[in-house]
Amino acid sequence: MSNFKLTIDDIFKQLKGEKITPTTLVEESLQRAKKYQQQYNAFVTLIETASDEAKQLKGDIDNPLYGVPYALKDNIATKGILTTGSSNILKEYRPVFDATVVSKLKKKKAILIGKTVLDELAMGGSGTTGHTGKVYNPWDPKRIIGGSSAGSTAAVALGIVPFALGSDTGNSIRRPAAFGGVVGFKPTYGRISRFGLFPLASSLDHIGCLTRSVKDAAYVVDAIKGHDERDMTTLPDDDKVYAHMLDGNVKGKKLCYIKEIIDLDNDNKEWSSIINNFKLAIKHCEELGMVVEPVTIDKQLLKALYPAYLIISGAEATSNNANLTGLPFGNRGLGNTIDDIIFDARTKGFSQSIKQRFIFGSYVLQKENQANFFRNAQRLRRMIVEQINDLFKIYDGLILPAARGIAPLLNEEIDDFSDFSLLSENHLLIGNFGGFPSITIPSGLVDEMPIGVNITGRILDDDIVLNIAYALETKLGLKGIIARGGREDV
Amino acid sequence: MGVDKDLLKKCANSLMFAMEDEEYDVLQAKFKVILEHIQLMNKIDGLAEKSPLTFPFTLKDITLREDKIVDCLLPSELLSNTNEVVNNEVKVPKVVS
Repeated sequence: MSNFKLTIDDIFKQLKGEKITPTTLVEESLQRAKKYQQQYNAFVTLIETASDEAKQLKGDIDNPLYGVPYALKDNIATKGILTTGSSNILKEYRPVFDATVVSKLKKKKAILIGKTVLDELAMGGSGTTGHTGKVYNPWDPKRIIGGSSAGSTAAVALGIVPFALGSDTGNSIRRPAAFGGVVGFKPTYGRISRFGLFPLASSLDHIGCLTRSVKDAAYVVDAIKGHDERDMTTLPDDDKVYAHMLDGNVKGKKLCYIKEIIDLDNDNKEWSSIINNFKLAIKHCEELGMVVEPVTIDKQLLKALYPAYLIISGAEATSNNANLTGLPFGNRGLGNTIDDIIFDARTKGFSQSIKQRFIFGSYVLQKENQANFFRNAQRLRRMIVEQINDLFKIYDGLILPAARGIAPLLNEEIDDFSDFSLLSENHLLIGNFGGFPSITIPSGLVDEMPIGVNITGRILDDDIVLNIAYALETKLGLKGIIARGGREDV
Repeated sequence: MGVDKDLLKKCANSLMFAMEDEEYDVLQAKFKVILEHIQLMNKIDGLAEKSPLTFPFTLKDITLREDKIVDCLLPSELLSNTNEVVNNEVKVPKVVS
């Protein structure tokens, strides 16, 4: 019997009922990973010993992640297992410690079956810049899956694993989730420890998960959240079990959407379909007893989100990655002096797009540019976060389309700085600027490709955001879908 | 609005990597577009009155971990990702002549 369509919830019940075993699950997961690797390239490393680990599992099936195979973005440290950040400079790096999320999943007896491809060092949104090649969309391999959590999204969409972890600095879980027809959730900033995550922009970085149902996302976050003394930015645990709080009762909750985005005038056929789908989602919300209202945010402010993000993330990334010298770890360069060795390692180790980001980050941090660039971007960040927090005094969440269209074609050229792109595509950044919990769920198909809707809520209200998404998911009827390319048994 | 190519090269040099000359042309063109949009950002009403936000929100209840003796990594583990090791130290070219 094939188990690839099972959610975590289903697996837990079947394991308890002794209808399946962790070994069966893990072996099937590895088989599927191998079957689809050549076509979609989701993994940097497959962990062949995972089935031995499953065979050795002992003890009661005491939690929903027991014996569940999962995948991990390759910028999260795994002791003794290759962790490359999908970059040549770290292509042989094996950490000497586990990230806190990995330790926590080990305690729950979840089983890691592979490390997934990302955009190099998590800088990118296409899933095409990893050092082991592009990740292809399991719904249509002519299209991108999006990034940077590309392989994690593809692995879940293909039914290889029921969940995968990713990281999200701008939208790197929630946008690919829309392109892959899966659930992507990043909780409140600090809810999940980042110890062992390769930092990109520390003030924006989050760890989160990709799953095929909202309840599964709750299970995963329940397992990995909590204070960590090795990450002083973590919050005290809220002592809630999110999965137990999902009752779908959202009557009286208030949501808003940004009028300047939804009313965008564009002859793009895809955008019209996105908006029609969004209006249907709103109707469902109203049927569930929620109130949904338009709100206004100045267009100039919305259009400045992306430039501000580039400045802040570029500046922080430049600094965070200064330790990649190839000397204590990473690929060593050649030369007669230390400087020459580092220069060579970094020249060969980083791709062009990474170097460009670092140069931009360095430029905005220069003494003569700091006030006009870096500090003003941080001022802009405060401005938008204050406005959203004001809205959250009235509303429980912000609901918007997760992306401006279906997954773009691999060779499609998109002008990131057109008015349409700036307004339609960048509201997910708000979730990182303010650390708000934010979730994307599948909301429909356009041209036989998945699209998603995003819900962002107040900080610390992870349970409320999940419950709204849970209720809406029931109405939308797309829970547990598997991508077109992954519907065969192995 | 643009950026001089020599300045970009200076940045790359201080970041300790090199790029091909044509890569600087691409970057220069990108800078031009980004800087135009940053200028628009800088003109937003009320921006100057805001203080920079460096962190998503103010963390309360920050507890520093207690000082306690714990096991630490062995030198061999710490050096396991280093290509050239001599006497438990990273080998590098002679620095002082």
